Amino acid sequence: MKFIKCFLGFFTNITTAVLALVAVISINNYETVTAYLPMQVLGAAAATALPTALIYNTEFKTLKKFIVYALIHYSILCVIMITLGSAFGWINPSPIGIFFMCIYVAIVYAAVFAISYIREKKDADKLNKALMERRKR
Amino acid sequence: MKITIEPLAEGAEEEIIIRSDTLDPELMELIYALKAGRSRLTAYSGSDIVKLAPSEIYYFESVDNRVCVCCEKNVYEVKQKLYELEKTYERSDLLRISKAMIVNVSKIARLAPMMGGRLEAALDNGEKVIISRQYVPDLKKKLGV
Repeated sequence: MKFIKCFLGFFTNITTAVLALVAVISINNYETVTAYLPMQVLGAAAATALPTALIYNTEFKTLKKFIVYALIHYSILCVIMITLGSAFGWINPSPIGIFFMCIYVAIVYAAVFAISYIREKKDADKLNKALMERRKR
Repeated sequence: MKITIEPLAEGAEEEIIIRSDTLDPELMELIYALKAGRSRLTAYSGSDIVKLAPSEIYYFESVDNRVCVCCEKNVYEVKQKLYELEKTYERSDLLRISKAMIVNVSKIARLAPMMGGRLEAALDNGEKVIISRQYVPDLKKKLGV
């Protein structure tokens, strides 16, 4: 149940970030927006949310371990997105196309990381407030 | 809630009487806290034996199959296993925060988010401990968030 909740959380965040990125990219490229795009975005978000949720449920004892896992995770996401991107016609399977896809993945990765951090910061602030109130009693 | 403290008659035992129609969760929590607060933990430091009140405890940590109890400045060893201590103090401020640690929530000065959904708790004595992601919901529940 916890894993499903975690997966759905990442699925929502990734979908939001990918849609934002697609919206920015398609401003000058209307011809690239097709009727299949929403389904493709949802499919790509689900495919990338799965390894993300798996990685997220791993305990990181050190910063070094976290960085190693983050790099492995990013590489997995790049492979998934290059494969899906080629299948959906989002990129040309050329070195430059692959390079740009890696850049897009990095942007979405940073956005999702930032969203997660902001949420966790909000939670920590609420807990700190509760701690302070508890101390006043 | 009205609190009355009466002088103790000579030779009489200290006693707490609670007059209430219902035992609501808050009251039960108070009763368990009182009970836990009165029981002292036996801890060891070399050949010395000390008795610790739960309020003196900052955290318990399990290291190499030994359980240590950390107070403001001193570290002692206890004979109990971590899960036994968790059970003993389940109704008190002592809360499991990772596989190897139980912390006294009342000693947490501040919390900060870390990568991977974990929290870093700065304690009153300046030490920092890590709260694992899987135990964060328990902390939220304890603090009523």
